[in-house]
Amino acid sequence: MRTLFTLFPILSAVLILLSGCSATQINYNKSSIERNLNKNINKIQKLSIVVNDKSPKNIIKKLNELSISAVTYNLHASEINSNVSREFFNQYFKNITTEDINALFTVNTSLSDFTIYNSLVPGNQIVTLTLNIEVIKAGKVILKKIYKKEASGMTIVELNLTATETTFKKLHKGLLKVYEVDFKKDLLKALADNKSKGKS
Amino acid sequence: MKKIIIHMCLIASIFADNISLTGEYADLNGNPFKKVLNIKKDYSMNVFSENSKITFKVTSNLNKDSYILIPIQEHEKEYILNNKSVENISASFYTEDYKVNKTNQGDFIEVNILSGKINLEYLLAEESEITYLEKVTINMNLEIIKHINNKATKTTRSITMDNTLGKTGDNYDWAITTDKDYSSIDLMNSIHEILETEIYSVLKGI
Repeated sequence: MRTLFTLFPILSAVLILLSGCSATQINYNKSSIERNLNKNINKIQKLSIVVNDKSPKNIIKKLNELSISAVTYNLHASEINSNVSREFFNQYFKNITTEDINALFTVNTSLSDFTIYNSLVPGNQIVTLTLNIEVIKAGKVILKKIYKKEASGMTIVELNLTATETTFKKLHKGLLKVYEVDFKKDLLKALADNKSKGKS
Repeated sequence: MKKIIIHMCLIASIFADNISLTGEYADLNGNPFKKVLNIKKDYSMNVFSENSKITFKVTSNLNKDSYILIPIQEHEKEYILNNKSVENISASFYTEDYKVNKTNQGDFIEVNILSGKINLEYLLAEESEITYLEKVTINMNLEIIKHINNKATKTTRSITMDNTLGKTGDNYDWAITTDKDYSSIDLMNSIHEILETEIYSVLKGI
């Protein structure tokens, strides 16, 4: 009995360490962005664009960026970014490929970093994203920018079993918003400035 | 004489306000890449709208009791739409794929607003005596006439839209979230935005 009492704290510590070691997986979930996609736009039909995802396969981060945190996230960065970028461009272009010498332009995009922090408001975690984008047209880089953004959105009522579900959806929506709001504006300007150039 | 004209204008402005659509908001519904990439247009399209004035009567939830609390009425009793300006929305819609001309010569598409009404919903915070315009809803009836080979084919449509412009909420499953701007709606901007989006949506649907 005495041995059991001695072992109990050790076993508890081992269990906590083991649970801390298994990372929470953040996979691509289309339903998180589906409502924010505009399906009514007349797409460009004949001409194609090239979109290449250059993200690392996985990014592993601790909650609050604290090395002692028991919560670890494994973001499937390449899977999420390749899908979200494709969904974004697919609103405007019918043909999106990874290789085409006659493409209108080429986009190299990388979801290179993210953070998740707890906030003072219960159920509202703060998500930041870093997106590196390069656009090439006619062999020339017409746009190269790093977007470091905080995903917007405040949770008012939370009925999920875990707060992380909403956080992960916020992450998806935040990434789409970077493409839709910040990147699109820059891309349109870069394309307008390089209107007279040929194909990439 | 000048003073009389100014007074007449001021009196008229109490009862009605004129709306002329520019296509500024309709453009936001299009594909901006088509414009910026100079996609070649092989065909042309003629668009036309009649030169007429359409009255949009305004209803609201401001009642007599509300006026005691809020002495200043925040909206007009009616708004007058210049139907000719609807051509700008047709042009905005068709210009993505066609070279657009505003004319009723040859084959052309004619779009006219037949009638419409505006409903305004205010949030009445009685304790603070503050009004807050929460919702603008516009219902309109319009006709689309395709004039092809001297033969006219008419279609009529009725559409209702509010200031959310038909966009569903972005709530996640099992959670209510918001990144909404809670500042009061700018009425005139909202009316322009809704009208242009409604006409654009109808043209897209035909």
